[in-house]
Amino acid sequence: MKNKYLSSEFFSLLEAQELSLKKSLIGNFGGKHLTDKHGQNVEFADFREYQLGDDIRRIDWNAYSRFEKYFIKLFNDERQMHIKVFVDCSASMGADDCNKGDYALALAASLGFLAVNNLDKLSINLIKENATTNTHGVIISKNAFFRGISDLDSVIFEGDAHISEAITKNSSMDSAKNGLCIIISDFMTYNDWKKAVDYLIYSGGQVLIIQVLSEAEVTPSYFGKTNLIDSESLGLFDDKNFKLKISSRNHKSYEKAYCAMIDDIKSFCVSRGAGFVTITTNTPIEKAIFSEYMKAGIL
Amino acid sequence: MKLTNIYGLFTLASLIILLILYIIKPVYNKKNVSSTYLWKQSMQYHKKDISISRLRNIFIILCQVLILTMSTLVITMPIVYAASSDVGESIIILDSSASMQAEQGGVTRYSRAISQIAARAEKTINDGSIITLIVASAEPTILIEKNNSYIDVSSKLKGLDEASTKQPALGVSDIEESMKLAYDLNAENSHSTVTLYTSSEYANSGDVQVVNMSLEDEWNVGILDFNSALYENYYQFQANIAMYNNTKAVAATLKVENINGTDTDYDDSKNLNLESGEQEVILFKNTGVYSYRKATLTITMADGSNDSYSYDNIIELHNGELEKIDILYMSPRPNVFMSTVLHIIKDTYKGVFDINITQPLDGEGIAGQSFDLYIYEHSVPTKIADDGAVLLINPDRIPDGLGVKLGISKYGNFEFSNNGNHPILNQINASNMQAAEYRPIESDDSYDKLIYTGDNDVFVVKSTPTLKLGVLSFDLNKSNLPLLLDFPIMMSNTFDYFFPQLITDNIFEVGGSVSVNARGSDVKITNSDGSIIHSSESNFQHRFSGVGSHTVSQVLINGKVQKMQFFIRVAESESNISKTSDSIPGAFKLKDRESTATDILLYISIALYVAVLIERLLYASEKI
Repeated sequence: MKNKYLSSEFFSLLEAQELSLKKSLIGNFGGKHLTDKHGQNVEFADFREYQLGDDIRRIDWNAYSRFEKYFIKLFNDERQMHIKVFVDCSASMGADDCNKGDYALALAASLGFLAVNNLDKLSINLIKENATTNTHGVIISKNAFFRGISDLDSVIFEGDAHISEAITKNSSMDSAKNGLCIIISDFMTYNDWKKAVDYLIYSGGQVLIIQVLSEAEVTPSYFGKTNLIDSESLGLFDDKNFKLKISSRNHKSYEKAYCAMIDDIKSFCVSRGAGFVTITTNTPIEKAIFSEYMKAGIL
Repeated sequence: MKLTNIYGLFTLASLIILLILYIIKPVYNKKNVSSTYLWKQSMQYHKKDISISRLRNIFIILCQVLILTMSTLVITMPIVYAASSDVGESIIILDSSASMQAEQGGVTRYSRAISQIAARAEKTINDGSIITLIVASAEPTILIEKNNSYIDVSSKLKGLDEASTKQPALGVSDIEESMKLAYDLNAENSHSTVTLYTSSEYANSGDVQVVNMSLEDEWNVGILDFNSALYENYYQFQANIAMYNNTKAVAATLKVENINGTDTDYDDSKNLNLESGEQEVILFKNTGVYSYRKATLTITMADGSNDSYSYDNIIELHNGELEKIDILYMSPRPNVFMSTVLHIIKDTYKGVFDINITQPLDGEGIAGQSFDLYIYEHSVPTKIADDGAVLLINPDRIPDGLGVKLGISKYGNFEFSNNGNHPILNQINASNMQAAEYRPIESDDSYDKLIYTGDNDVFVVKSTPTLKLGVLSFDLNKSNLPLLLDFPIMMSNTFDYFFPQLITDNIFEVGGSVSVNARGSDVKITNSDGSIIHSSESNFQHRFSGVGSHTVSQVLINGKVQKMQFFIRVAESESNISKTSDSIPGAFKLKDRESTATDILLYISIALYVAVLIERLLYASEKI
């Protein structure tokens, strides 16, 4: 794989890690994620009085000897989750002055590896314009995973990305409640991406927002008379482009705007129960995973 | 302000370039960013700062315009004229030397100058200018300073004229110092002019306007020098007579009074024809005069006419008899060194004092005699004389009541040292002196301690109008002092200290300072008519403003009154009433408006630097 962030050493570090997902998720049979659903597992969960229809082999006779009532043991069920990763493939993610695209794909790959490593299902969805593209289908095994991420090198970041429309139109959303939905984007868009989060939350799934920004976007270092050309603009005279005499005061205003954006996303995610991680591309990817993911509580 | 390089104004054209630069839309650097979303969001926070930014931009433009303007000024090299009074000032220097007292038709040059100055002052003041008058005497003073009131100026000039009539200024003038005063005034006011009213002609007067007060028909014959000298024991009288601006037959008459100790006078005269600018030395010899009291030389014109300047037509020489100084040297063991030194002193002061040395074998031979200096060696009488100076050398005793006592003799090899700088110790190095025996002297504070060894004084002196006493407390025979050159010098100094010359000469110039060195009391100078000019109880200096004979007197310690006469004459240089000089001493170039201009290039450069700095700071503040 050409992605500079991904290597076999990197994946070996992830071998011992697993995603920490909500137990309320329903999931599918066969996985390794403990849920609050009762099933045929070894992890004791509770006692319950015997009811007609229950398997009499599960009656706890020790409890019967003490209480002269029939109790059966309940065990937590382990489920297979479906990890859906949505990667913003707009032009802003692949701009020349930053490597947000590669970084975002690396994050997606790392999350994907954590998924398949724990016998979860993985699907990587590339958001372009108002649709998502899943070129590899649902990945279950590591072999399929590595085949799939090798194709990520060919991802082209271009055009716009309407996150809300793309995700809400995704045909597999009916299974959102079966796992974790991760949206990786810079979220520097005029489109209302929050609808997508609301949609996913409403569908019963767990949502994680990962914002990837470059260092130049957090702290721009250019001054003076500047014609700012947006990478998603359709031409030189696109409304997204504008001229600005950048001074230190502009930088301060930019910083305020940046903080306001982060606060807005954070408060929105808190209100919706979604996780939020913002990472700059100059952060080593190992640190991003082992520090920022843990802070977000998904590792 | 004046621009010395007017073509530098073309630099202002660059302002147009600056305006064009601002009119033309500035080039914006193209910057590809992933998203302009945040920049657009930032604008809502930035809007409130736009007014400050605009203000800064205005300041930057202002600074840039200032920079260009000041650059233009730097190129044009502007100068500003020094802050000076807009009022014109006429600085007048009035020469008050003796030659200005030359008169024609009963009016002196000085009076004419004052009249002309008054007329000039009236015109100047009426023109709205001010008047400053410097009186150039031996010590120039500013009589009128920046005055614009003709009444004041006229009043002061009138007072000056009256004072001159009453007591003509017959001294010399310090034109150079007057010029310095004028220079300072000119420095204050560049609109000033300097005019010198004088009697001299200057070939090059520079910026100073010279008004020569001399008239064509003024002339003078004067005695430049007059002196007497002994030739083969008889006095010869020599005079130097000069004629200026005329040709006349002149009679020089000599009158010598009280010749040869009698009441007889000696008269002689010589006729001479002098042409303008000619000087002639005349000699009156074979006079048969070996002593005289006063010699007077007078010059008169053969045709009975009077010259314009009469102050140099008579000179008196006061000779008189030499003052007698009687010295008593009494010693049971007369010292040959002391005797020798006394004779050296007698010889040295031959032309000043008539010194008579008495060296009796015992005191009986001098009973009742009075001396001016008593020198007692070894043996001191029970009561020392109080009518003269007393010098005790190795005294066996000192009478009580003199404020000085002797201690017990000390023996050994003693080296001496000077104590301070006393006139008696002039040229004396006491560290050369040694003695095998001495007696410590204890004296009160009224004594000057001159030489000491260890903590003990060995030579003290006191000189007051009532007591002049010196005590040397070691035996000359037990000291190396007599063998040293210091001994005659020290004795001579002691003699000088006790017997200073009352005046050092018998003829002085007007304006010169006469030093009177009194050794007695009631010292006074009287005029020829007997009026007291100056009186004092001690030494003093007096500056004379008029010509004539004067007498200085003092009452000596023995009660005698010593008198000396002297003559005050005008300076020789003042006799030439039509003198010409190359240039005015201390003349300077007047400041004109150009030269008083101050180059403000430095200040503009500093302002330019500051403007650039501010512009850069404002510009940088946009980025920082």
